[in-house]
Amino acid sequence: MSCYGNFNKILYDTNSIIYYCFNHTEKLGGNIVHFRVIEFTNKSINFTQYLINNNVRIETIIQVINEILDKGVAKIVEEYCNDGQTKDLIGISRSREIPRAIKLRLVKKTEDKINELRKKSWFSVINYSQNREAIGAIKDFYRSLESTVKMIAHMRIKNKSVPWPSSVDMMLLAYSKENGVPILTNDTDFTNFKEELQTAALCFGIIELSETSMIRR
Amino acid sequence: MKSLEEFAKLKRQLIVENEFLLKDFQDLEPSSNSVFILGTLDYCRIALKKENLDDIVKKGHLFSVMEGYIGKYDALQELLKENPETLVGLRLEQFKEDFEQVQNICSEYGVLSALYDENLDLSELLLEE
Repeated sequence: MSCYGNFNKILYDTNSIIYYCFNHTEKLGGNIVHFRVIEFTNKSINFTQYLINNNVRIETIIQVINEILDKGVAKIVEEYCNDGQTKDLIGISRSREIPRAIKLRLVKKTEDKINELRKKSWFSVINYSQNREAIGAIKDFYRSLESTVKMIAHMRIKNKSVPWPSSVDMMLLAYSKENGVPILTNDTDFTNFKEELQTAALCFGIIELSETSMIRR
Repeated sequence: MKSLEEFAKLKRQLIVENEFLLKDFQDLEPSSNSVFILGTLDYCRIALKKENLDDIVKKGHLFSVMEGYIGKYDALQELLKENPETLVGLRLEQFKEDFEQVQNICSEYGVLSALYDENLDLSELLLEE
């Protein structure tokens, strides 16, 4: 049970897990520096602690973990290291690239934390087999929005050629609906169409990571 | 045993070969494997540039291990040139084991701390441009 609704389980998407684990302390020239995604790491850590305190179990599906370990962490670290503020933190010129060895170290440390997370008693990874019928319905739903102003803008901003989300994201929606579990996410493929997805009953619910700072701790 | 001049030549060759590989792999799509390849080759580049060992036995050992590690990428380079999309699914366990050896030797000989050492100071990885 939580202030977000009556549920005792919650489903984390790729980024919610990565942000939770992307929280590192490093030495730099004898000083200590902190690496984290400023907008989201604290939110994910605080909300996760809130859920643990309220006996809400945290789940994800195995396809999310595979996506994280194959590409997800690398993409977030790449984006993070291309950010001027990260270069300022390290003390290099914004025209320089952060050494690839440092990127690898950040990826490895994040992956190690994700593997630690998998061992926590309050966290479960579900071996989910996709429901083709449900995935088809989700795809049809997004396709039906293709000509709307909202979807056209969304696809342009995300530089997408198709309106539907990734296959892993569609599996998350299907799992959410089948098992009555809301999804924690900041992915605009979900959040931009939150009302529509919930109205069409294509998922149990969507909780936006960016809004979790309103929790009563 | 090689002379210091021969070692200097070998070092230059390794740096050039390593930088060629880094350039060749730089456009790979971000993935755990591409970050590993580029990160470990970058670590080798930094270690080679920092290397200043007086002990030629250690120098010979370090260069031999580096040469072996960098040389392993020739076959992978060919494979990825034809099929870059196969990288995500590749298991790089042997590369990972060999890189452990590279970083352990660099650390043991005082050339550069191991990349995965908890106590590494990141400034060690920042070379002057």
